[in-house]
Amino acid sequence: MLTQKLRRNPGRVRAVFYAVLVHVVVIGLIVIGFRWTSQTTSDQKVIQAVAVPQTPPRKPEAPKQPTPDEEQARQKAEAEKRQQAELKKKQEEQQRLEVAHKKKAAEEKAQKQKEQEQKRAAEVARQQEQKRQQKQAEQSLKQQVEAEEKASQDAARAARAATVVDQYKALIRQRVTHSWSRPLGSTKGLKCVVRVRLTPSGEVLGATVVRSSGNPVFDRSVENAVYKAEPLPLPNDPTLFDNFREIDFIFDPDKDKEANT
Amino acid sequence: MIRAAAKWLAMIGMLWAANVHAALTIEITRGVETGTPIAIVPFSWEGAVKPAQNVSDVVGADLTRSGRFAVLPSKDYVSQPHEDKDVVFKDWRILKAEALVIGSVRLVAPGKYQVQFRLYDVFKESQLAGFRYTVGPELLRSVAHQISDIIYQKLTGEPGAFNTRIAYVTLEEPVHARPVYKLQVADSDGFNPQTVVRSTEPLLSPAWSPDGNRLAYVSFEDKRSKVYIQNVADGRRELIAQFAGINSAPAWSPDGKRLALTLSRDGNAEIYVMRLDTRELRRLTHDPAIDTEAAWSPDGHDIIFTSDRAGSPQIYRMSASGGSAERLTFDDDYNARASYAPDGKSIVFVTRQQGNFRIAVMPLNGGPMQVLTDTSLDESPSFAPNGRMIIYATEVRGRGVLASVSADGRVRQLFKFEEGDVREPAWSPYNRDLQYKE
Amino acid sequence: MKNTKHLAASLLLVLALAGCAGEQATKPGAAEEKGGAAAQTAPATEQGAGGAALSEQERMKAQRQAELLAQKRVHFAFDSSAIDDEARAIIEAHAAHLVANPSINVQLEGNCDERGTREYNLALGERRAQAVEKMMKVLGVAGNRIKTVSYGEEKPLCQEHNESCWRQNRRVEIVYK
Repeated sequence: MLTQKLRRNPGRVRAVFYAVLVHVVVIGLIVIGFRWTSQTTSDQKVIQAVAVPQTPPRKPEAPKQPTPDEEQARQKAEAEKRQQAELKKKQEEQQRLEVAHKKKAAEEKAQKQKEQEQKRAAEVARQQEQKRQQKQAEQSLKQQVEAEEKASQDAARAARAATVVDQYKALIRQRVTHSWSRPLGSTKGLKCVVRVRLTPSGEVLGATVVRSSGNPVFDRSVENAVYKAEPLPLPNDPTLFDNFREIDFIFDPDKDKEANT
Repeated sequence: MIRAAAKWLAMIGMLWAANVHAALTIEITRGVETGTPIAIVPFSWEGAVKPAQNVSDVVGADLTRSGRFAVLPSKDYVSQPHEDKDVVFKDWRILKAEALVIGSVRLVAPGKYQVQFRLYDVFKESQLAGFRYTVGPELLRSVAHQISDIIYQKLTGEPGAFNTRIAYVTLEEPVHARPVYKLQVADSDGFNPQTVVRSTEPLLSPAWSPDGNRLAYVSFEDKRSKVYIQNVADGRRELIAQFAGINSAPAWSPDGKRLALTLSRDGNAEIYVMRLDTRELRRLTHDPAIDTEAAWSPDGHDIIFTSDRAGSPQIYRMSASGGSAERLTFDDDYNARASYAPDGKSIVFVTRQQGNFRIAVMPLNGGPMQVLTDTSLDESPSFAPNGRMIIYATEVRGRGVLASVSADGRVRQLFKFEEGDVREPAWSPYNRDLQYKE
Repeated sequence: MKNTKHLAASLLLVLALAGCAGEQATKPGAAEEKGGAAAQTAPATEQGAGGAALSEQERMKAQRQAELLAQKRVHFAFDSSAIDDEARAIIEAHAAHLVANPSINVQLEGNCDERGTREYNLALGERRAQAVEKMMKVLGVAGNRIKTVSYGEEKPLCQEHNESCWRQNRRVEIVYK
C-alpha cells in the first residue's frame, strides 16, 4: 500500500528522503558537537604545566662550555700537564731528600771523627793536668750534648710535622662538618666516600664520589659539603702540602658516637 | 754508609707507597641539622595590578614549614636574577646555598597569569627543574604549592604534600548561646579556611572522596547520627544513611564507588559497604561486638577496622568482601581508628599506653609498632598523601588543636587556629587542578 | 490519673532542681517535705485505703523510690556497659514508673567520656543505652516505648580532664517523652 502510494508520487519520496537526511545530519552534528564540548571542558579542568628545559650553555663564555671533544682533549692535556708537574715535583722532592740525607750522613761522619779526636786530645790533656782534663772532659761532654740535641731536634721537627698534619686534619674535619647540611630523615646505613683534590691554597680542584651511598640525595649533600667548606685550611709549610694534596672524606653518620636515630 | 743508604731507601719507599692512594682519609660523622640551605629569589612581577598571592613567599613558607630546608634571607642576596641568563652561580656559592629558585609572574591577558620557575643545583651549576603555568588568579596559590612539591621532591627524593587541603571540625561554645560546629576545609598550610557545613549539633568523621571533590561526614542535625556526602565546591549534598540506630564512620573505597559505613540497624554496630550508585548495602561483620572505624587498603582489597570482639578495642583486617577477620594489634589493651599509609605497607592508629592515648604506626609485615607521640589525648590520625606526615588531633592547655608528626616520629608541629576547639582532621588527596610531567 | 501525672511531673521537676548541682546527691530534707505528695507517685498497689496511716516501712520505700526516680542518669565504668548496683536500682525505679504509667515513653541517650576514639565511643554509648533498655524490657516495659540514641563523647556534661569529670560523662540519660 505504501509503496504503491510512493511510486505514484516520486516527488514525495524525494521529500521524505531529504527530510530524513536532514534529520540525520542535524542529529549527527548535535552528537558530535556534544562530544566535542565535553572533551574541551574536561581538558580545561586540569591545567598542564609546560616544562621549561635548561637553557643550552652560552657560547660567549668560551672556556666555560667547550665542545665535548675539545673538552676531552683539553682535560686530557691538563691532566697530562698536571701529572708531569706532579712527577717533576715528586722527583725534586726525592732529590731534595737525597741531598738532605747525604748531608746528614756526611755531618754524622764528621761528627764522629770530631768526637774521636776530642777524646784523644782529652786523654792526652788528662795525663798533663787534672783541671785541663776536667775542662776537656767538660768540653767533650758539652759537645756530645749538643750533638744529641741536634739529633733530637731533627726528630722533633719530624714529629712536629706529624702534629701539624694532625692539627690541620682536625681543622679540616671541623670545617667540613660545619658545612654539611645533613639530610634530615633517616641516614641509617648510608656511607659515602668523596675523593677531593686540593690546591695549596685549599681550593677544591675536583671532587669525585668514589663510593656512593646508593642515595643520590645523600651523595649530593656530601659533595656540596666539601665545596661549601672551601677554602679548606692548609698549613703554610709547603713541604707538608703533599699530605693534603688528595683527601678521601668518608661520610659515615652511623659512626656518630652521640647516637641518633 | 750502608745504614744511611738503607734509611734513604726506606724514605723513598714510604713516599712511593703514600702516593699510590690518597695521602689522607678524614671521617665525617656529623653535620648540621638546620636543613638544606636554599635561596629563593622573590619572583619578578609584570602587570598592572599585583596579584593577591605572592608565589615565592608561599613557596618559601612551605619549604620552611617542612623542617627540611633553611631558606636564606633575600636581603643577603648579591644578585636577584629572574631569568636563566642572569644567573651567576658564584653569587650563590659564596652564600653557601646548595639550591637556587628563580621565577617570574606575568599578567598575559585579563585574568590570566603566567608563572614560570627554575630550580638549580648551585655547585653542579645545572637546572634540576623548570615549569611554566598559565592560570587564573584563583589557582595562583595552588601553583605555588605545586612548585613547593616539585622542589621538595627534587631535593629530598620524597614527594611533597603542599598542594593538598585539610578538612576538620571546629566547635565554638559562646556563653549564653548554642554551640556552633563547623566542618571546614583549608589549604595544607591552614590558609583560606572555608566553612563547608555549619550546625548547632555535632559533626564528625569527615572523609575525602579519592578525587578530592566530596566529603562524607556524620551529622547530628536531626538529633541522631546520619551520614551525608557533600560536594565541596558547590555545597550540594545527599543524605546517604539514616537507618535505625547509628549511622557513622564513612570510608571511601579507593575507586570512589563504595562507602564503608558503621550501622547498628541490625542490633549492634557492624560494618557495611554501600554501593553509591545503587545504594545497595552489604553487611561485612556478623559479631555481637562493636565493629566500627573501617578503612580501605589502597588497592581496595582489604578493610581494616576496630573491634572489641576480644574484650577490648583492637585492629582487625578482613577482605573487602567480608569473611573472617585477622587480628593485627596485640600490644596494649586499646588500639583503634586505624588507616593505611598511601603505599599500603603500614597503618597508623590510636593506641593507649598506661592510660595515655597516642598515635602509633605499625608495618604490616609483622614488624613492631612504633609510638610517635608522647602526649595523652591524641586521636584521629590521618596520613598525608605522600605518606611522610600524619595529621592528628590533640589537646594543648585544655584546648583541642591539630598537630602533625612525621611518619618516623622526628618532626612534630602544631597547626595554628583561631579560637575554638579543633578536631577530626582529614588530609585530602593531591589537588588535581594542576599537573606536571617530568 | 492526669492530676497525678501533673503532680508527679512538677514534683520530679522540683526534685531534679534540688539535685541539680551535678551530684547524684539526694536531698532527704526536700524529699521528706514532699513526703506526703511523694507517696502518691508510688505504685497504685501501695495506696491501699486512702493513704491515711502508711507504715514507716512503706513510707521509707516510697521515699527511696522518689529519690531513685529523681536520678535521670546512670553511670558506667570506663569502656564498660555493665550495670552496677547503683545503676540497677535507678533503672528499676524508672521501669516501675513506666509500667505504672503506660502512656509515657522514654528515650535512653548513651554517652561516653572524652577518652578513646569518637566513632568507637558512638558505638559504646549505644551499647550502654541498649543495656539499660534490655533491663527495662526484662522489668516489663514494652520495647516500643523505649528509644535509644547515642551521642558518644559529643555531649559531655563537663570538660575537665580528670576522673571525676569523666565518670560524670560516662552515662545514659533517661529522658521521658
